[in-house]
This record gives sequence, structure tokens and C-alpha cells, in this order.
Amino acid sequence: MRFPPARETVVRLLLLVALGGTLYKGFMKTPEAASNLTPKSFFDGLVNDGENTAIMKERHRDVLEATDKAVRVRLEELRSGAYRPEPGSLVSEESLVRAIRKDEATRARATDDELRATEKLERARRLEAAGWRMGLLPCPPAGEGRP
Amino acid sequence: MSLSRRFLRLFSLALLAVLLAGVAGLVWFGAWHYPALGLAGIPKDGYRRAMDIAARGMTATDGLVFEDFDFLKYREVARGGEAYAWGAARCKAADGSTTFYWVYLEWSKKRGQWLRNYSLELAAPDDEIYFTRQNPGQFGRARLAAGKLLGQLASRVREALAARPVAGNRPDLQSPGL
Repeated sequence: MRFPPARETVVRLLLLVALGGTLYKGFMKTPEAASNLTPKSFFDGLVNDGENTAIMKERHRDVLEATDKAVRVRLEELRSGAYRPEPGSLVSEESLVRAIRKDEATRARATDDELRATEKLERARRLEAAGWRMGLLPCPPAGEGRP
Repeated sequence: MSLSRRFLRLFSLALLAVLLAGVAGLVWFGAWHYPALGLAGIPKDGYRRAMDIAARGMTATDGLVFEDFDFLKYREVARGGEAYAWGAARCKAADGSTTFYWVYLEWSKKRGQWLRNYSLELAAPDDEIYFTRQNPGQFGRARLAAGKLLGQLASRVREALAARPVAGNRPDLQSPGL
């Protein structure tokens, strides 16, 4: 091989290195590799994700509860005359009553989301406590989500 | 002919530059400058002070008088450094009616300070929660959405401008009622 290698050779070599790096990084992201080779960072990531999701879902329920209170107080003040909507406003007794119902429906789902997020976090903690590792062989059928 | 063409080219380049500068300015203001405004140096567990500053600033520019937090929450993860603070601020509007304002801050690991996040007046008269299928119509919806976005931007800009002169002496950092 010539000493100053041809430009094509250099580019080819760099591409190969980049491809190898991508393959390595992708491989280390799979649960098979991460849970067996770097279990600490794997479970840190899993628990951190669960914690952030649970906090987010709690916040989403809170904003709906705060909206509910804001709408109810507005309805109260509309009835007592403390709040007077501008002419042509979308706010009226009917739209406020409807808003309360809509918020209740959305909140029912948000409460369920919150419960599922808590379950997800608990599952991550349970897997870590059990020292779970992703099996490398095809696993026998077991209950869904069973560690 | 060549002169007018050169002029046209220059003009369109200048227009593009102005447009890009405008977009860059918006991104800088919305993603960097405004969220951090007046919150630098407050530690993670100083979230009450950060929430107080944020709530007073954003409600005052909307003509609301901040009374107290209806509720205030702080959450942090045990692993990783994320932390969040949120709450509903109870305010009085100019006409004497009660208004609730949602205030939400996130701790930025990168910048090491609290940052304002999605915050707005709850159940405002232009809220989607009052919409039906027919009312408002297509154009009404678009007008309300654009008005909400631009109105919020305008009030953020007003808040940033109002914060400028008092940045030196910071008169009301104490938080009565908290």
C-alpha cells in the first residue's frame, strides 16, 4: 500500500469506523447488552424514566384539578354577579357547566394514567431488586410483564 | 437591467437576514432569556422563592393581583437530577373576580437554575374548554388561537421589559403569606 493512502481509502476507512461505532452504541442500548454488561446505568435509566413519568402524570392530573377549581369558582362568581363576562364572550353558565363535565371526563383518564405510571416505576424498582437480567436465549413463554 | 437585478438580490438577501434575525430573536427570548428571568442564583430547594417571583411577575403583567398559592408542589427524582415545581396562584382580576394562574417551573441541570415552563391563566375566556362544535367557527378558532399565542408573547415581553429597571435593586423578593 502506498504511504499517503488514496483519498478514497481514507474515506472508506472513516466510514467503516463510524459504522462500527454506531453498531457498538446501538448494541449497548439493547436490554440484552445493557442489563448484562452495565446493569447499574441500565436500572438507573429505567428508574429515572419511571420517576419522571410518574411526576409528569401527577402534574397533568393537577393541572386538570386546578382547571376544575378555576371553572367552578368562575361559575359561582357568575351566579353571584361578581364575575360578568364581556358581551360576546364564550363564557356563560351553560359553557361553564359543560366545561366542568369535560374536565371530569379528562380527569378520569388522567387519574388512570397516573396509576399506570406508578405501576411502571414500581416495576422498574422490582426488576432491579430482583437483579433481573435480560435472557440471551429465546425465553419460554411467561406471563406478560412478569420479571 | 443588471443594476435592478443586483438591487433585487441585495434586497431579498436583506429580507432573509431580517427574517432569520427575527426567528433567532424569538428562539433566544422564548427558550433562553425569558425562562431564566430573575431566577438565577436560587438553589433547587429555594423553589418557593422561585415560584413566588415567577407567579408575581407573570400575573402582574396580565393585570392580576397575586394573592397566594392555592397549592404548591415540589417533586424531584431520586436518581438523576431533575426537579419540578408547580402550583396554582389565586389572583384578583381588575373587575374583582377570582382568577387562577398555573405556574410551572423546571430545574435545569445544564444551567443550574430554575426555569419557567408552560404557565398560563386557567379557564381564561379564550380557553378551548368553552368551545362547542359550532361555536366558535373555523375562523373564530384560528383567531382565538393566534390571539392567545401573540397575547402571551406580548405579556412575556412586557414582563421582561418591566423586570429590566428593577434588576439592580430587587425590591420585593420576600414572600409574605408563604
